[in-house]
Amino acid sequence: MTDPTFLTAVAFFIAAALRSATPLVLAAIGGAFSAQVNVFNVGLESMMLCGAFVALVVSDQTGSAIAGLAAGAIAGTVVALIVGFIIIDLGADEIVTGIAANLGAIGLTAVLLNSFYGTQGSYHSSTAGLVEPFSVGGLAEVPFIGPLLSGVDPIMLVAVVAVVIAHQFTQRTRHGLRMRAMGSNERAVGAAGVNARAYKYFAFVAGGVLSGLGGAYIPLSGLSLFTVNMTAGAGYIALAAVLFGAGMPLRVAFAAYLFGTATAAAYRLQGFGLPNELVLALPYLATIAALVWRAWVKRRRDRAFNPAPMSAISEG
Amino acid sequence: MKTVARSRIARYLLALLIGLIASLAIMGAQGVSGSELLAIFQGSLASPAGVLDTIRWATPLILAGLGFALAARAGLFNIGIEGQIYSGALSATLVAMYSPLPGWLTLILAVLAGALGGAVWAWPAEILMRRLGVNVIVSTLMLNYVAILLTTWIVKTWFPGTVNGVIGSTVSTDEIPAGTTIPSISVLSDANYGIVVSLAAVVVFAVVLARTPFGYSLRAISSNPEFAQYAGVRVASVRRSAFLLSGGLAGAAGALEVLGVQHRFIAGFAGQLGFQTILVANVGLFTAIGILLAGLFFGLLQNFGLSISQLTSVSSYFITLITAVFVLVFVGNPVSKILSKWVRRND
Repeated sequence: MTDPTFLTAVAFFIAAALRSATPLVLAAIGGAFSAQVNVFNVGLESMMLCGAFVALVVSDQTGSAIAGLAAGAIAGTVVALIVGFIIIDLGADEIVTGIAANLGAIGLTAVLLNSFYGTQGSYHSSTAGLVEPFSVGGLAEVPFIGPLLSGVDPIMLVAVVAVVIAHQFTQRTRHGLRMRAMGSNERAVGAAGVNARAYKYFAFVAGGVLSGLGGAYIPLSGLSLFTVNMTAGAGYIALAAVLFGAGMPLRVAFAAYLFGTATAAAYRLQGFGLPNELVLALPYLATIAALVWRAWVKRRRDRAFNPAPMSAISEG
Repeated sequence: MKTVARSRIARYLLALLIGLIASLAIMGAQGVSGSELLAIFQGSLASPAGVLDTIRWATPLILAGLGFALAARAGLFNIGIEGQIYSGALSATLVAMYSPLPGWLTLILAVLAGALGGAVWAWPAEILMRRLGVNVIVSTLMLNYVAILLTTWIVKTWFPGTVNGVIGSTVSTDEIPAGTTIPSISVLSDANYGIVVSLAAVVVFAVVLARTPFGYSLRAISSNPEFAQYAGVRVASVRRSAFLLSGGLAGAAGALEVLGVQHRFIAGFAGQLGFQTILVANVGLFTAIGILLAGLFFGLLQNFGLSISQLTSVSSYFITLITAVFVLVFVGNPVSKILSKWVRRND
């Protein structure tokens, strides 16, 4: 019979990992759509941060978590539309635009934070409606299941559902097929009569909604506060997950859950003498490793079919 | 040629105009009037201390900006500037602290060590790109975060006395020996003679690009890599050099920050410097003179932002926002799009 406190600790850890991972998963699934149409959505961070801020403010004023979450998703969408417009219709470079958007979001939320609440650092809300874990009643006594369920909230489930829907959309629908085709050869797709511009906007909007929601979850899942630059690079970790999974929802989600767990683990492992920083570096190293692996496999396959090319120009 | 120059000027002006409007709007909403803003501008910037502070902020931006532009001209997006800055900064710090040589010699070595540190951090991404075709944007972006975490860990582990157990500005090394710092220009500001390095780099960049075979190769690759290859340019080799030099310049910028301003390695010191560098290079349109001016402009804005936060109730992040607005308008370049549509319609 396993020690119940050990099981409880494991259950709490799983819940914590889920809480860490959920915003990443949502943002990463959102970002995956952009990857499919070959747009490097570096601006995920800006959508998450704006989502977080708006969510806290709205929830603080209304006391409703749902209102906060919805407002966060909307905020993310607005940012996505602006960034998308600059990239798609104005033709600006996607990376510079994304970087500028991220800095802009930090600045905007900090200025508004100061403007609304008069603080330059952080604001803690006592009136915000938070996302509540499932009420389990009598089940709470059950070893492992009890503590686990009492740490899980509906948004964690929403994230899982989002992954499933994204997967079905990408692999099983006409639109998903078109988007994947756009990723390979945009001109051919355009020649076939597909409105590439519409799908690109769709990718951005999906990214905005989901990362806005993911960002909104961060303050509303328990912290009930907003700090300047609260997301602190979560958007970049989500981007890493997108790149790791090459835009394919299931792989992207796998990476996002893995990275979220690594983050949650980092703080716990500190107690065992394992350096915080080295564990936190794992998601980034893992992404590089995944890309190296994929590139290596591809090279091997290419060499088998096509002997050494004439041109020495390497891909950049 | 005239229309190109005109449209470029229009582009900068529009971005400045929108930035100014946004500033006034936000300031107005916070209760700060336009004339107050002007007064702050005159007081803090049109003064010796203000000019010096602008130089202080511009120094690393110009140097690292040239680095980014160098790689960009070879067709490579070195987003890893931030990580290379950290790597260079730490290398310089360690050399400054442990070198047995006389102060001024150590200083020179430290700057070179910084450049080497930056190049070394760029190297893995370069190899992966050349040998395996791994997208250099992704690898350098990931290495940024690895650099921040790795340097923080190194400082925490080997300089435990100064650790507060928190990742951030409170984790740092001891101060570097007095003889190894870059002399300050005046007591009024942190600005130091590191600016000389940045200015020299601007000149070297311009000369190399315009007058040397390497620069010619770069310009050829910028326009059309395949044609350059057929014309005899060893594209892969030029790209490698450009990328590693790019890392070197970024590392040197990090070294200047440590040796000239902070005099110690502070974990996480670069803040948004890496990303700002990328914006500077873009706004400077990847030319030597452009980056010089853009770096000074960004330095000015940074200084302005600090003054605003000290003298009004507005957040110091206000300038981060305005910088972003400026860059977004600049990069979006709406005038050019509207004009080209108009031209097409009237043909």
